[in-house]
This record gives sequence, C-alpha cells and structure tokens, in this order.
Amino acid sequence: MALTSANIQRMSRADLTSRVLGMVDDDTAIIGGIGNAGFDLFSAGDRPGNFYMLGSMGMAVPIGLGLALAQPERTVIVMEGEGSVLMTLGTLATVGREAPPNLTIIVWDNAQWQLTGGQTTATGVATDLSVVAQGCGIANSNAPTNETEFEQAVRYALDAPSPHAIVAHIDAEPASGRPHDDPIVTKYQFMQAMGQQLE
Amino acid sequence: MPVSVSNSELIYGSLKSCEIDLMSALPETWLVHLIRMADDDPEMTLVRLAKEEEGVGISAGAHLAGVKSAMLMQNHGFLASINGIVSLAHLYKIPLLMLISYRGEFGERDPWQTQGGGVTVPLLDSLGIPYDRLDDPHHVQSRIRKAQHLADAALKPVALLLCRDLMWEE
Repeated sequence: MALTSANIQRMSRADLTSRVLGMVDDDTAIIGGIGNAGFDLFSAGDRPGNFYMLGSMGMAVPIGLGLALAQPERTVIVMEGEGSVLMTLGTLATVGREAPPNLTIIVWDNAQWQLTGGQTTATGVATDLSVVAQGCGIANSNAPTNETEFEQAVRYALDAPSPHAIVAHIDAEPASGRPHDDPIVTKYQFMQAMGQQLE
Repeated sequence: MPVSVSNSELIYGSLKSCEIDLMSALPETWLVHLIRMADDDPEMTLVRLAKEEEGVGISAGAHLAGVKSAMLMQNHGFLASINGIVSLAHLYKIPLLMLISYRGEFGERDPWQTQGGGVTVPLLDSLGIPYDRLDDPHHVQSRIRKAQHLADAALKPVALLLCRDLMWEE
C-alpha cells in the first residue's frame, strides 16, 4: 500500500538535517541536493564538507557515488528530495550494483515538487522509494516513522559498512536560509575539505 | 565480432597512461573490448551505468575527490547526458574526458544510429565542447593525452569521437 498523507506522520526536514549534522564528524562529506535539501543543509550548519547543488537536478546521488568510490575511507551522505531521486531513478540500481560501503542516501520525501508550487509527485500517489531502493539492491533501506527511528537509521548507516537508503517523510516547511549561489566558491571550498591541494 | 581488439587495447593503454583510475560506461558494441579491459583491470574502478547522464555526476564526484576519470558512451548516450553536462559540468567547471563511439557516420548500416550520428558534431559545437576524432591508431595516444590536458586546464568537458575506421574491422 502506498503511504498517503492520511496515514503517515510527517517530520521536519530542518530538524532531521540538524540531527544528522549532530551525528557526523568533520570528515563526513554531505551532498545537499537542489532546492530545500541544500537550503536546509546550509541552514542547519554550513561546514566545509557540505556541497550544495545548484541546478543539475538528479545529479546529487551520482556525485555522492563518484565521491564514495574515489575516497572509500570517507563517509559520504547524500540528502536529496524525492523529486530529484525520481528523475534519476536508475542511479539507485547503479548504487545497488556498485554497493559502496560508505554511501548513505537520505531522501527527503514530502510527496511534492515543493519549490515549484507543491505539485504532487509519484510518491504521494503510488511510489514507495524505500521499496524501490531495496529492490535496486540497497538492502539497508528503510522509512523511519518518527525522529527516534530516523536517528537510529542514521546511526546504523554510519556504523554498518553498506550502502544505505533512508526515506524520511517530511513536511513542506520551507528552509530558513540559502547558501551563497556561486558554484565555483562552493566547489573549491568543498574540494579543500576533501583534501585536495588547490593552486 | 569485428570490433578491433588491438585498437581498443591502444585506447585503453592511453587512458591508463593518463592516470585514469575510474571509468563509467554503458555497453555499446564498439565499446565491448574497452569495457571488458576495464572490468578485468584490478586497478580500475568501473561503474556500470543505467543511463549515461549518471556518469557526469560520478565523474564530478571523482573530480571533487581528486580522482581522474573517463566516460565511455555511445553518441546517443552523449545526447542523454546533455543536461548533466550543461547544468553540472559547465556550471561547476568539472573536467570530463568523454570517449564517444561515433555511430551513424558514413558506413553505418543500422538506420537507428543515423539520427544521432547526424547531430553529434553540431551538438558538440553548440555546447562549446572541444572535440577531436580518433580514426587512426597513429594518433590515438597523443590525442587522448592532449584531450585530457585540455580538460584539466580548461576545467571543462572534452570529447574524443571513436570513429568507425578505428573501431570496426570490416
């Protein structure tokens, strides 16, 4: 049965983002997808290991995958809205196949394209992305129903070497702030945090 | 299968000499040996894609982490990657080394390859992506090396067109 707005408790993306930031170390890379995923990541705590996506909808999970494969010792978290995940759904199969042990995908699912006016996405009607992720071979895939379960899922993802997917059903509260919008500044700050020597 | 093994080895060796450690690929007939060589190489991370646009993000992530990568795709896969190339690689100044099998040129027998073949070069031009042809084994190594130098210096995508005369033995 698809989860509908009538039978699920929706959490706060800002609150959950803050909880994640409270659980990770400075070396953890976090890719914030376009729109409110990145905005809330910035608002919850700007840090050198945050990479904020601008444009390029659907590319946050592939970027996280490339990063996780390139630096297998580093924990990589992708925070991405469900609309963007739906756009590049096949990449969940690529993640399942490559199975990087250091990659966690957190899907912020509010069943709507929030920034464009709240139009309903497929997850509000028929699609369960935690089941999709599991079917794509991301065995550690779950949909926590409250904040305690969410924190447990994040803790498990940080401790257990495996790709993980955590689909969090969140409300549509807009983020309170936005990162600067210069992609090159974002890129070089992040690359320095990833240990790259810049000329 | 008359895909050239020796020229595929030449291309693969050239990529290795450019210190490429990660490749993304989606199978296509002319790429069969290249993908197998990457798969058999314990030093190479090969990412098998569901769609070529994913490879743009994967190469971007590798670049952010300091790893050099290459993308193996057919020209229709290039067509399927364009938003990622424009909205991610161009926007964030990400170098991409794209090896594109150039189907649909003179000699093509498959009708379904001809439409993509006809628009590949005009699209590269309109996107401002520098490209060169690989159609003779004598220039394979130098052109791959020069392409990677330009991608790294300009921090932008570059393309090498894998042509029929190099890849296919009639």
